[in-house]
Amino acid sequence: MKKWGSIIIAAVIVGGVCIGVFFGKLFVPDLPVGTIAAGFGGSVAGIGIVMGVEKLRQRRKTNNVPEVDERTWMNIKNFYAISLYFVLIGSMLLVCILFASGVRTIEIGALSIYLLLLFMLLGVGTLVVKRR
Amino acid sequence: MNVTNRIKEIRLEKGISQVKMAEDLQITRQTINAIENHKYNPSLELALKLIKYFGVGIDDLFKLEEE
Repeated sequence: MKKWGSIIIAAVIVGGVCIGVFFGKLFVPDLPVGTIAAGFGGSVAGIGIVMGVEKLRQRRKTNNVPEVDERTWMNIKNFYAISLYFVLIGSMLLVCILFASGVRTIEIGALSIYLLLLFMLLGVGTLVVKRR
Repeated sequence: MNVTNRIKEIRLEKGISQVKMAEDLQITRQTINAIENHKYNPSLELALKLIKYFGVGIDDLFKLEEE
């Protein structure tokens, strides 16, 4: 099960990317092929790098000590609970600032970049908390 | 009220390293460190595992400090 776990996760992510591309094509018929290729290639490369690093770490490991345990899960849960407040309040604050400065519409592109940054920050934060 | 423990003391008495203990109990070394330094109280499940692992009574391992 452990051996197949990472393969299943990677397959689900790639599947998700495929579904995303399909919907992208559905909503935006003249979507450039370069954009799809970049998104797909970036996702596959990212998964490959993460899985490769994980494999290397597993190979170099000399003991049978687990990566996570009950305390780590609790730390991660606390981190998500705290970040939820930051994300909600921060987003609201950002909307208020934008509204006050005269912005009345937000582009989907800008919103997607904002969400991407948010996910990246949460991902990095999770890794940091996991190691504590 | 604070919970104190004698885990470090008993572990050293028995000559068990933190890594060995982490492997045996399937917890991280950081968790052992946190418990030994009274920065984290283990769950009931882990506390019972620790009691079984060291073969001591609950009173020998954990103590509730009266304020």
